[in-house]
Amino acid sequence: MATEKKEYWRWHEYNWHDPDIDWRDAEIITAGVDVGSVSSQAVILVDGKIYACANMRTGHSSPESARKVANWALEGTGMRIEDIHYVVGTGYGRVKVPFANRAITEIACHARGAVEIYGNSVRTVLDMGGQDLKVIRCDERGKVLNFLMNEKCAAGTGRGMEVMADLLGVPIGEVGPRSLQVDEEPPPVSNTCVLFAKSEALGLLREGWPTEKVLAAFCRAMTDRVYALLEELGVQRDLAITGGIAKNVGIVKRLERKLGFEALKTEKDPQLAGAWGAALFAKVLYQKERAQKRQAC
Amino acid sequence: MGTLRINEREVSFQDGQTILEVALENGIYIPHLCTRRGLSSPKGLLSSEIVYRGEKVYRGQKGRKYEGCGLCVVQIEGGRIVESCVTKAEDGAVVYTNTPEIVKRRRENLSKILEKHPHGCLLCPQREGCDRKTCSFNVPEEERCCWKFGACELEKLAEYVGIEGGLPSYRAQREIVNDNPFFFRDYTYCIGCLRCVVACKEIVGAEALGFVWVDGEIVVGFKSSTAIEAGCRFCGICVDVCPTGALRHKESKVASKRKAVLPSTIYPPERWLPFTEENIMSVPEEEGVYQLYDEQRNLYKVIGTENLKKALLEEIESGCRASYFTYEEDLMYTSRERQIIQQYVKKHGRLPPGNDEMEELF
Repeated sequence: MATEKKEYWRWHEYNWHDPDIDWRDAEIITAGVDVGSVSSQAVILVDGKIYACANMRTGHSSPESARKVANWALEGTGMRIEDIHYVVGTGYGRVKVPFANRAITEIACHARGAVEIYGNSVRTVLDMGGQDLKVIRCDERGKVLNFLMNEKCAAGTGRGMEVMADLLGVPIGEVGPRSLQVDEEPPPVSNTCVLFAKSEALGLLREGWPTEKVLAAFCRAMTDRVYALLEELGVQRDLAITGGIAKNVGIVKRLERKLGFEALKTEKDPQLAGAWGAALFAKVLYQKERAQKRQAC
Repeated sequence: MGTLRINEREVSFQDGQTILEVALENGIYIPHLCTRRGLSSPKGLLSSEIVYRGEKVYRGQKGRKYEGCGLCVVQIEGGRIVESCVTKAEDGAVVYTNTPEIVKRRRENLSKILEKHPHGCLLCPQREGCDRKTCSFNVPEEERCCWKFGACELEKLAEYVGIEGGLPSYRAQREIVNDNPFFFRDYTYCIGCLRCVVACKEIVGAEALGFVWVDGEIVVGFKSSTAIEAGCRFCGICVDVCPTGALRHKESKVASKRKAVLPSTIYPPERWLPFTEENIMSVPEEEGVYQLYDEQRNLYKVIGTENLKKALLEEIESGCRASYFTYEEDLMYTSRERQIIQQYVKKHGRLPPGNDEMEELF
């Protein structure tokens, strides 16, 4: 009997909307769509307040993923994409959001979104995405002052974490907590390259390491890599972490230990930062456009 | 006095000038490594019998000639290939600097240098966006480039000349001499171009440095067992002219005193195009990244786009004030765009002015 292969990497995809808000009364409806290399998000704002959102895996084509994630966010709301006044696209596939009025680089969107999610004490944003790491320095409004990213490589990023989850047969949501279930921190794996780390992890398992210990070694190596990047730009408090890995306590806790202070915490989804920032920019751009049109009349 | 034609352009020269000098003076770039602007070519210099690198002593055949780096080759009409650094300009000569034969010859000569110099990073597809912390290709540290990466003259030359495929990697044997308070000598990265030897002789008159041939390779060092005995005045001119990371100042304030001694190095040109509709028409309709520059050739905007030609034409339509532009095709244009912006931010501490338009959004 053929059994379906379990997909341990699969993280929680969801859509949500606020039933207490009636968008039909709204003056301005804007959206941000962040098509990343691994995940895509859409955030719909009604008069600047979050009304709906969705977070899902990016498909093969970015225009299609953009449309899909936006439609999913709007599911059950009665709103259609055409009802949105202004859409800003961002992320890897930002130029390919077909219904966007404008594209803005995700560096700007992430900083703006992080300040929205975590509050205006944020000075450093660490975005741990699917295929890259970014450190952004920003002011209290979320304006980018400086930034640094890793080389074009999936080492030590979300995709690497997915591969590891699959390899060890640990659901991705449990990777962080289980990596912390070790009595003593093992030495980090010597390599964060997804391919090399994979074979190294297999070797450790064969040596008889328990899964938790291998996860700890991998998370530690990844933390070291992230820390090096943070150190290069310099961390100014407060620190906000965005992107999928912000939800991995195995990385966040280790990073906080190394930094000697805690990163900001939130109830909201840190993966939405890019799309949220884009939606906020969309509101400003729409207001500007409208004011210009009025003047022209 | 006379005139010659270089790449179909007529230029005049003074008697005694080399083709290389005439070309550079007229803004025609010819790659050159062992010859530096303001110094004679080391081609033909004779080897010593003995040189010293700290504790180590090197002996070799005395009086053997240095052959030159061979990067400045040009073609004279009729097919003859000559080294422009030692060939005097002649009235009526017709010279080409970039024929296919020349390009090939230069690459071969460059390979001979890089074969014995760590060059892993020069071949890396991620070289520009690299954080220089961890290597995701696992190139051993001894095969990677040194601290000077990003500001290295040899690197810039390699980018311009192009590296032949199949160049084997080279693992450096570390040889560091740290025997004075003014400069480090890291012979791991010495390519034996002899610029330092020429500068020490022509600029300072010290002649403290020399070279020997050991097993067919050049070894540069002091002519006596200590720097002082050799006549070194610790002026640091050797460090200034070094095209690699082999020599390094310890105190930058010492270096600043001698800046006017030599004219600045001429680096390979970057490929700017004047920002005109005519030039943009020849840009392909492909994914890529374009960069816009002002009159002073300061970068002011970097944009990744799925259609280079269309986006550039739109820039013209919107009344963009650029004077020059460059473009490169790249399927991963959003990440390439960020790479370039990041390099800019690192250098200038702010975003390129054209990318900082977001002010309106706050």
